[in-house]
Amino acid sequence: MIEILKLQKQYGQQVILDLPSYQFLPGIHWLKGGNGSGKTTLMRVISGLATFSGSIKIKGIDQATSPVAYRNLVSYAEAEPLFPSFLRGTELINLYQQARKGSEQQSGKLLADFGIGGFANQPVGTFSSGMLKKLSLALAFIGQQQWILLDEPLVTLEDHALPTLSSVIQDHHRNGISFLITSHQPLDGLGLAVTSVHRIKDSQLIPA
Amino acid sequence: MSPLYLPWFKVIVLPFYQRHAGLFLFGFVLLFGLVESSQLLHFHLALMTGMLTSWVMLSLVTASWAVYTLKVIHFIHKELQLRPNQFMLLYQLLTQSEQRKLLWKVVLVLLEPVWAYVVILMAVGIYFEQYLASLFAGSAVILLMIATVEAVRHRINHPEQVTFGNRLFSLLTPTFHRPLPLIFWTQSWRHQPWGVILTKLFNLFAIYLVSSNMDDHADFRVGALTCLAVAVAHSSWIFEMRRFEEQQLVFLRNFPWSTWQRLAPIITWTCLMILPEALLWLRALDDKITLFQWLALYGWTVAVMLFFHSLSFLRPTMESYLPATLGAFLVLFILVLFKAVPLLVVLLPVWTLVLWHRRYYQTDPAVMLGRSTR
Repeated sequence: MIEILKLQKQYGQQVILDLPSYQFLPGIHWLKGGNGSGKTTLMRVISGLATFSGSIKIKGIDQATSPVAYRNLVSYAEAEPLFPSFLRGTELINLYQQARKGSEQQSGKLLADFGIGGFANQPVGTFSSGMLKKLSLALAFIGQQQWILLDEPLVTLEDHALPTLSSVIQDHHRNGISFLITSHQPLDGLGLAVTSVHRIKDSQLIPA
Repeated sequence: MSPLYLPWFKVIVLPFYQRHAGLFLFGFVLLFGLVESSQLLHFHLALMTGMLTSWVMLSLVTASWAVYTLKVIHFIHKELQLRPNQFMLLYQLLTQSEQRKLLWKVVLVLLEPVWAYVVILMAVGIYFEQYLASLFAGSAVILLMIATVEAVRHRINHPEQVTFGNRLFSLLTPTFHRPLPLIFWTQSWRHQPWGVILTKLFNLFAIYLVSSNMDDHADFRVGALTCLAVAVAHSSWIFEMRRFEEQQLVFLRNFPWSTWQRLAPIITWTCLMILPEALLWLRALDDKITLFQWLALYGWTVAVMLFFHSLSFLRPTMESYLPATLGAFLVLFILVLFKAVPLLVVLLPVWTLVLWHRRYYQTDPAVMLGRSTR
């Protein structure tokens, strides 16, 4: 479970998030909201990429007081992934594998599932946006985390990759992994059994 | 410069020379720096006549030109593949002869170090009546140029095709996985190659000058102050690395790494970065500094650079960071005069570790990119 308490995030004078208290129970959650509503900011805050005031806990482990243990429990795929252009896909996979204690078998299966084995050995600067997205999604699944945050996973992904993404999510969910997914496109088309839908509006998070 | 040639100059020619500046510098030092200046002409004449009279040597040299040509082709192919450079495929619209005419210009500039040397070699060959060897060298270079022009033309006209060349180049690409310090190093080199070279040249010159003019068993503070200047010369570079980390390696923040695991690659990168300076200090070993003092100078430079690195948590914009490093430089300068180096070599890394531990997660990456956040 993700527990959020008195979370505030501002850019300059603009309050982006103001969440007195909120919980995401284990499951697959769909996070909605208009452009600029703070979905990505919330994902970055939960994944430990951005600073905030307040408290976020996963399985009772607080991000601020136990940053290492907390990060073991959550991974994140950005909406617009950015990696150094000279790095090869395989180098990133290897880096994630070492950092998140994933196995070669797991990475190999993800490469095959997402169909990126053919180009993974090329520098990411040569990737198309779709290829980069697939790599970024595969990286988020490497490791032993309990929660995987996917920011706009459907954007730039080709049609026939959608069932693959759906089945990878469902496989992992069957193994006890929970998901928080932002998407402007309906997730129903993916065939996912969404546990609950949430919406960010006026800096607040509410059940939709 | 013609409008058709200009994109090639900016996308290919200039970056090629910038990114391989170290290689050229190395070649220059090898050819001109290792021989007494009075012997230089004689040395090169002997080298060239050696090539012209020995087919084995000439073949080896030709092979090295071929490797250089491969490097040029590889570079062009790689750059053409990058997304921002995809517009270069518009050159498909030129006729074959227009493409060739343009690419000959490009190749002439890129292979200039090879053909310029060969022109001199041929002149020497004709003077010493080694006509066949001269003809061989000249023909080899012309063939290499034709091959380059055609390989690039093929790439422009068939960008999607996986060629033998592509497979060969993928074999030439390093297959090992770069550890983080090498990722930082690659970025420094790619992002500001001239900055790297000029900083290094400045530092090496400063160390050479100081170590040459030091008295035997001179005051350790002279070396320590030189190293302080070396560290300051790296300060904007250090900040750029922090910015790179927060922009393109921001995903590392999500890794379950301890402070030490995050700091260790930075320490390794710093040690690697000032290795050339440390090696140059070795020339002063024994008569001017002891081995312990050499180690202390190395440690001192690393400590100051780590301190500068950690300053970016307190001063996260370039506008506030550079004055802070300058202020720190002045304070450290005075402390060195008061013989505080041994104390600082311990204190500065401790300060760095504490600051990293306390401030790493409290500093938003967006701040490094100039955005106000809390």
